[in-house]
Amino acid sequence: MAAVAACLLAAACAPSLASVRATSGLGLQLSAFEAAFDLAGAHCHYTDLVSAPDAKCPDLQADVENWHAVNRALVGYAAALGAMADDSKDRSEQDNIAAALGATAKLGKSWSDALDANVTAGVSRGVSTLISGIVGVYRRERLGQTIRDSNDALQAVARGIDANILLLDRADQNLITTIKDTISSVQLGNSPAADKLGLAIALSSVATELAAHRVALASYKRAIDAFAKAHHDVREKLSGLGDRTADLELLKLIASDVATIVKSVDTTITQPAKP
Amino acid sequence: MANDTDSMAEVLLLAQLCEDVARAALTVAQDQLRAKAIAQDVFDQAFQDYGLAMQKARDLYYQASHGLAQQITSSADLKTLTEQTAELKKSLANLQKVEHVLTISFGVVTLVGAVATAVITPSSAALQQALGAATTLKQAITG
Repeated sequence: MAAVAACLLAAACAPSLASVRATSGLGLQLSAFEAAFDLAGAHCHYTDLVSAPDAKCPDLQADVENWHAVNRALVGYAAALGAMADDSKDRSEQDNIAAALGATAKLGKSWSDALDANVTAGVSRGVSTLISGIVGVYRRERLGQTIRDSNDALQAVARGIDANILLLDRADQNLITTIKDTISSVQLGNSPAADKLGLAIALSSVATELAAHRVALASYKRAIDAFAKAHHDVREKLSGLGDRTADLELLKLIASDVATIVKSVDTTITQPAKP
Repeated sequence: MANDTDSMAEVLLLAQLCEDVARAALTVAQDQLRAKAIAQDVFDQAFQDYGLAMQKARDLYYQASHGLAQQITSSADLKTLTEQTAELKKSLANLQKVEHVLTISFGVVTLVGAVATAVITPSSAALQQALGAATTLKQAITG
């Protein structure tokens, strides 16, 4: 009797599978951003040739591997969600993806002090919780509990990534401004015209690279925020789902949140540098 | 995280103001060079000062998530510093004539360095030093 009741309860409380699959799809998009922070250290060193080496640059470089692992944990967790929501067969391709990513998502090194220790501790705890959601058998019965157990962890990881993006984006913008001012200063100087032109072109290409990096950071922010919000929406609606109407409403909510996030990130992070 | 979006925004605003002051000082030096009021080597020194100030402002961004940095920006003293830095930016933007451009550019490096120290490793002495640097720069601007 108790087993039957548990089964009924699980079915009644199970979230809409379509909305979970949509959430999983948003998370899987994060796989494109594993290397998003790789160039932060290199960019930081750009001005070392003319100024004293910046003591903060090695910290940015030191965290690169950890950020890779964080991203793998997120994508692995998204794949696991998708696999658990896929009840058409016992195992799916996503099972393997999730397991493989989960196995390589462990944080190896301690974090530098580039970010506040509370932020990185939250990210580390979050990754550990997400990995525990990845391992195990992917059955629909596990889905609701996994989402419930993982939501805070996912939000903490998203906050950490957002914090890093915000600071690196500002740093990129600072470098782009410095380059523009350098170009205008070079053009005022008394070096030969060819030197001036060459320097201006070289610096412009670096500025273009930095601008592209800012666009990539903004895309990463859009993707992580959309995944975290969709997951939060599903978590909030866990107890009220199970029918087609609720499924449709939740999908609409997720789509609306994603559109709002895209608009918000575009206005806050991709503003052009001041002239 | 010691919190909160407002505190983070204050650190970012202060860093942005430091950048703006550095750029305003460079613009003064560029105008002087254009008008042949200063020699190339004087401009070079002003440009080096600008580069250093921008680097120190960038360090503020790298450190802006730190709880300590956010706590200190909540203090009234640092709000005063933010206001003073904003005033310096205005004064530099309106500067028509300048006798000692290097005094100003050096004053900017000193100010941004002191602000970065006050935010990253806060203490009352560091804060007083930053406020003192702002006063010195103001005197250099107003002559």
